[in-house]
Amino acid sequence: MDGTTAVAAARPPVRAGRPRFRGLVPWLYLAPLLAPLILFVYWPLLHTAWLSLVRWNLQPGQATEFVGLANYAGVLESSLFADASWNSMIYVLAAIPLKVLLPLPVAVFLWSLGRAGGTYRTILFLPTLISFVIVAVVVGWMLNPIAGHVTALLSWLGMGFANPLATPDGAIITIIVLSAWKVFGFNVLLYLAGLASIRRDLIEAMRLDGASDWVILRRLIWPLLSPTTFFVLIATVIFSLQQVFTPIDILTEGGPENGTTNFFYMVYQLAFRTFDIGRGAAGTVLLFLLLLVITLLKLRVLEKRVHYQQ
Amino acid sequence: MTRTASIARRTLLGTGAALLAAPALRAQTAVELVVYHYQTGGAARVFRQILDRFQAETPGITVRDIFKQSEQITAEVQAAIAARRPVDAAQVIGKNILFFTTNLPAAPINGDRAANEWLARYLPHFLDLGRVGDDVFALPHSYGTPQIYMNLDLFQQAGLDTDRAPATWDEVIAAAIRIRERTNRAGVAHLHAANKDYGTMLWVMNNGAEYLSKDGMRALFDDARGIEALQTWADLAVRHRVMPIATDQQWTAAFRAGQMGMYMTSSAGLRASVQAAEGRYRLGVAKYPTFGDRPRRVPASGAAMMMFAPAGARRVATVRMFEYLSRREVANLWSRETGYMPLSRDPLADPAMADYVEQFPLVRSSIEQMPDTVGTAVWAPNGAIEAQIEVSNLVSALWAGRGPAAELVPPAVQRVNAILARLNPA
Amino acid sequence: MTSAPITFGRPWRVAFHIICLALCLSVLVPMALVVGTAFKPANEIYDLSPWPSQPTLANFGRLFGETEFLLYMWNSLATTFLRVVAQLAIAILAAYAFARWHFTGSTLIFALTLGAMMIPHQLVMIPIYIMIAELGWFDTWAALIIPNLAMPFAVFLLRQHMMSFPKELLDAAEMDGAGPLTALWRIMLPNLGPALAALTIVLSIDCWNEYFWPMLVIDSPGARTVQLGIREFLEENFEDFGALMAGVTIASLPVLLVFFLLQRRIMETFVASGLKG
Repeated sequence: MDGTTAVAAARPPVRAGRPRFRGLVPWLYLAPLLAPLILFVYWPLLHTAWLSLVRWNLQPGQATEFVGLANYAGVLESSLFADASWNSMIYVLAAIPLKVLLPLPVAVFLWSLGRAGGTYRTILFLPTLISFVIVAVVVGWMLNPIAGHVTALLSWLGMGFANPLATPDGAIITIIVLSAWKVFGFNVLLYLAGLASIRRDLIEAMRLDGASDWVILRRLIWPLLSPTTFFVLIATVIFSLQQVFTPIDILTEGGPENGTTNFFYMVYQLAFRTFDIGRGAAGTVLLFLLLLVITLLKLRVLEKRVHYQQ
Repeated sequence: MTRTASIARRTLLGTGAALLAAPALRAQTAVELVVYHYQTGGAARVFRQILDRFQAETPGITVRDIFKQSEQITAEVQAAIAARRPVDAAQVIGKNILFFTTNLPAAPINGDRAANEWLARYLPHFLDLGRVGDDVFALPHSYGTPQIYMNLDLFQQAGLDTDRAPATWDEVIAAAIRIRERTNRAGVAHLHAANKDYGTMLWVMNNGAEYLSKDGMRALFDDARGIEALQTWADLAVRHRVMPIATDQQWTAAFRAGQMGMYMTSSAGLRASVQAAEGRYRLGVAKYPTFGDRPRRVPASGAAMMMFAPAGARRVATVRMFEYLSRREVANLWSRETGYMPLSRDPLADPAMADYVEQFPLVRSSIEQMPDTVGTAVWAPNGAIEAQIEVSNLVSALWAGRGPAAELVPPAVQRVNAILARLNPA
Repeated sequence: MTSAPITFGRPWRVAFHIICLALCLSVLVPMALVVGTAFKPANEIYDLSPWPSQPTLANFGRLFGETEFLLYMWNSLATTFLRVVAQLAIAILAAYAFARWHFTGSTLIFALTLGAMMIPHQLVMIPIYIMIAELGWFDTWAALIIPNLAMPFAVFLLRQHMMSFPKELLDAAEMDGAGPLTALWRIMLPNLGPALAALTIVLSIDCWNEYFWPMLVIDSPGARTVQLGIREFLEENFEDFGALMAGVTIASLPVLLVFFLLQRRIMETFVASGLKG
């Protein structure tokens, strides 16, 4: 709700309202949106909450048995819970330097190159376009410790049969690097979008005052870019909780030794590999609460920014 | 009974008048059966071919086959039944059978007496897997058996005898070390099956240990034999450094590309392996290795057919289809085209099969190994995935050399048992 | 041309060029290896050189001859087309309503629309899966298209663009007797070109590359999408990496082509639109 007030404050809606448009007409335009929105977003959200409180295996004729919070206890007790939560945190924490901080100086550099930076920008953007299924399949092929190209290269250098996916640390690092590689160019683009809105005359003015590049970066660009940085940060955090599903599923299935599983993969396994709908739904609700906290945090900070700018 | 039916059909077809009558008769008793399976590629084509022949033989019954991935088939059948869509029969992975008999309306195949007669076409231990009391719930169907696949070119380059395959694990290890030293290739790997646990079960049972209790509620492989077996697996990676740690997919790719000396995996992959080796290297196949002179005990991998048809015409028709599948010639055809074991007794009494084995001796070891097959261990109805992930974590820890099996196995077994006890309250 | 806003010192410039070059190589080398392997004959697949010495089309022949890859391409193309057209139509109508009229409940409905942006797919998958099961929609295009019709992000973006459009023009059109739908079609839409182009691309990539949801609801080879096909292909033809890489190349081609044709528009719209926060 808070989000709308922020947006509404920034752009007041048009008041067209000739009398004959009051009434049903707008609803006719909205109906095709509202039907799927209710059927496939809000109703399932409520349904998930209900399912998290019952025991049900999708069996025909079996009455759903209300079990209170037992499914939540079941998720917390699961042998996967501790590792899945820990890894989710690692995925998110690792995302900050690799996906949020590193693209920033690269974007500033490309910005300084002007049109000449276009080629870099385009190439770095390519991984965004290629599906993660394909990325994971290709990486699995290249990392084959017996017949892959990375192995061939390593054994050419005198090291045989190395397989980063064989150890928990190596495997999670591999997936982290892949997911950063995949989204790097997109985040660079977001920063470039932010940089484009910075007025050049401010920079010229500072430069006339004798400010160095470093001072301009720190005093002018960094503060003006901070809303973008914050947006990238929040988007990346939310994204990092889900995005790694595909490489986990294709490369490691959560292993070795639970080294790469995360919260979402655990929920998937509970819900769709064992059809323990109750526990799967309970895990989903927990994930929802986490995302809600992150989103509310985002809205608070955005609202502050709006006030600050006014 | 079936014979009279088919004779009757032939006489009917013989007369022109019957041709007019047939559609009417058909409309009256027409039954469409729905069968879920996870066969792909060539196997799917043969499966369909067999169903077509069955349809031709039994007018009035048609069979629709629905493909689902092997990983998903349990869930999908469950969902279909939940949605009250017809499911008359489904291929069910061996270790999930208990889940189905407990949680879903599976029907015993031997509901009518006559069925016990034709079920005797199978060796009794193939039927044990789906036996609850006197009832048989699972028709043996797509059972593979593990075997040694060998790259004989690498054997030769390593100076090994290509006419004598390694028979015991000691011999396998010696050959693998030799291959690594002489050819700088990976020596051997043994299928693992990621989150599933067939590989682990196989190691343990082949050394005379039990994997799970009969009710699937307790893991039992923390005894001396179980620990010894798993230590041998770990040694391949850690001590002898002949098994690079990888996934089944990567091992299969490497072996088929001719980059690995030996690979222990299911006979179901035989066709594809032969194709891959063609023109690149000589492929050899041998029986699964034993621990010294202990008898070979190999759990069958793969799936059985289970029946979910409601009582009445659909169930009768499903039983008829099962009977058809159990015939020696049909089972043999299925085996020839897929690499699964020919499950009906005495497969070589069928001249087509005898000819085939003559021309294609690589299938011999899977047939010879049939008497050594034991029932797959079956997990308790709930918590199997979490328990299997625990087992898979144990295997990863062993490969990584985190400690000897004697140290790692017992606590892992305890964790597995705790999961099963928690999720299957008495 | 404006001058560079910041001119890093020479050592910094060199360092940044090295970083950017390294990053670009990490993109281009694997791509070259994939494309090269797609054209390699079987005996060169395991050579270190990414490029074939004897290029061949045999891998593509096996890909199209021995697998159902064409069918997967068709499924992906058709569902992507149908889904994106439907998503855009729904988003345009809704954005128009939000931008043009202020009516009782419009703030609440708009808030609900924005709120849906915060709810990723994965949070609602279980009930939708059950729904699909009950409707018997497994292995159908409907399962891929219908649960994904509402795209709040598209509604938001289009509303922003529509609100910056001079309302007087629409009013004038309506004075002349045109209904709101005609005004939308004749006057509003022709001015939304760049935004619609960018949205089309974003939504198409989204649909074309989707994995999680199709994996849950599609099993039958007849309904498989390209992404599922690639994964299945890996599992069924373990050793035929020539054909697999041919498949990977073809599966990525449509998205890359569309991107290169329209890249200026995508970049401009991203830079110009509300993505700043």
